[in-house]
Amino acid sequence: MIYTCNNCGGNMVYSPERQKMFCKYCGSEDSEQKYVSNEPVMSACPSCGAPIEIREYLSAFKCPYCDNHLIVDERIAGDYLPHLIIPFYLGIEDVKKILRDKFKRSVFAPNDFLSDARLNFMTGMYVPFWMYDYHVHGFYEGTGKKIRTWTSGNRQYTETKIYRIKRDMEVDFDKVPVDASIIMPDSTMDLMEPFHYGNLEEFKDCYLSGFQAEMYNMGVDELEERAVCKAKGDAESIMQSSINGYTGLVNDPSNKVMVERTDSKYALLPVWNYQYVYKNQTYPFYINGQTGKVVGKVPLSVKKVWAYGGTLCMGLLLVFTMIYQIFRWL
Amino acid sequence: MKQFVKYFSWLFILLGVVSVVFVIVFIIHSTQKVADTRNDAAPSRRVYDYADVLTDSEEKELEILIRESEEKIRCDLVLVTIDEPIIEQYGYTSNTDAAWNFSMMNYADDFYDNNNFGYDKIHGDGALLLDNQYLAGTSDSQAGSWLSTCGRVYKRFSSSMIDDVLDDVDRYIGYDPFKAYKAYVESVTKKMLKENDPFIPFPLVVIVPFIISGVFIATHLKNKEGDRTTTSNTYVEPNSIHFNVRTDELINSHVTSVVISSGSSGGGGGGGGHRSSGGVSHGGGGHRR
Repeated sequence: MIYTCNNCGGNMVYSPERQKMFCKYCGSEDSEQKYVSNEPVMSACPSCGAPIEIREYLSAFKCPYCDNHLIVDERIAGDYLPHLIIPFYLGIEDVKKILRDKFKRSVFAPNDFLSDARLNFMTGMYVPFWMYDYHVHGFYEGTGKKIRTWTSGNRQYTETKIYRIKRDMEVDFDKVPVDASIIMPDSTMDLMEPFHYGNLEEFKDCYLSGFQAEMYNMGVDELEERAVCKAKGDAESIMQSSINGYTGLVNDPSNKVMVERTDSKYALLPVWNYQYVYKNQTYPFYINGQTGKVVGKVPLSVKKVWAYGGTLCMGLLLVFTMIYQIFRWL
Repeated sequence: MKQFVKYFSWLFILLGVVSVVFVIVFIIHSTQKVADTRNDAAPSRRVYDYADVLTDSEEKELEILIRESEEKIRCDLVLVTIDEPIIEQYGYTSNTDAAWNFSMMNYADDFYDNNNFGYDKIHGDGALLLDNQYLAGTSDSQAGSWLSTCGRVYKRFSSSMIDDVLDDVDRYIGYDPFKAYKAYVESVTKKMLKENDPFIPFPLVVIVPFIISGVFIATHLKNKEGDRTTTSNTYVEPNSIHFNVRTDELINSHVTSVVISSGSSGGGGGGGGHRSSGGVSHGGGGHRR
């Protein structure tokens, strides 16, 4: 599948800045036309006809020959049709600005780390997520102490009260997300959260034009353990926050939290990816395409560490020594 | 490079300002010649070995050492050794610490004043060590050392510094008096050479920039992938938290008490200056043996 412009025939892409389909050739907006190939499996570019080998799980990509953005029909259909999507709200220029603001104090980063030449290689990708709804029922029993101390005359009094604490709590969780992409590191994707669900929409394939996308790599049941773990942990935290002011809390071993799945949805969520290569090592950065939250470790230039650290040390040494000598002379 | 210069602009400005002040103070300091108004009224002799504990060559050696030290610190350094029942001389009948202190102090101060010692002027900058050998090592001993200070030395020396000098003397006096008196001269000289040092010791001036730079580097090296910005309530359906049971039942209670013991604190004493019979301000302190 490819989106073309009705006015000039160029490739139309979704523009996060405009929140519309856009033709970068003639500047037209929302003048798209969808071309769907008759072939059951995409093996050639519908635009230039070049034979293409599509990486496993990839559902939207750029043709390496004609640079047009293609969507693999069979990977967004049937069981692979996403229920929901959050379209990109941040374009590449927005993300460049966010990165430069975020790392403006990272003085030890290599000089070209935030250069246009490097940042232009950023790719926007729709990452597949499973979203789970849960009904959680938690039981807690334990004993805790409350200790109060006061002084009267020349005596100090300590009152110890021992309580039996009982909680039976029910809570519903809505759309606990777990990424279903093998190439995306789980812990990093967890740090991408939260996505604002107010922008969740029913899936439309036009949003994929102009970006990369993956279909889910793992099924809903395969990934559920991570979601259950998140819901269970959150429910336990909520229950614990209702138990206040106790010291020496002793929990009963019979305490439990039961998690029951009530629904699940397959969604695509927007993530920008910047791969910075420095001294043969890749430093991946992920930027939430909706909120702009950045996750990634800044590379360090050893030369800069020495230059900045050395300058500061020598400068201060000179300043302090001169001040010391001035005081000796005065 | 541009980023580097911009980042350290505050440091370069600070360096510039301090350098200008440094040069100005240096010029003023080097043009200010210290007036050598040496006091001529005092005798040139500095070692008065009335107890005869030093050989002639040791006395000469001490005189040379004192002369060299005096040039460095611009203070008179005098040594007096006696072997006399000093307590009785000052009219006391019992050999108490107070009587000994008073007698030694007066003897030392009077000796300094009567000989018009003082580097810059009569009764000016200087120190005098009085060492009494009388009946040392016996139960009737009046042996011990007293350090009398005057002028700049009086201003500079605290009680603990006087104690330090006397400790240096005590370390050798039992078996090598010459070494003990040399220690007195060297100890006073060393302390007076640091007279103009700022309150902060120089090693600290060197260490602090390294510490600040270390902290600066460590802070910038701290490299976190990202912060977790979800809470336990992020995915909770609004108004869906429901407690079927939420009880905190008191099952036991007890009160204990202890008596608060009242503490007491002790105080310390300090030394101060005094006026000699000639009306000159002196400081000082002594160690009995």
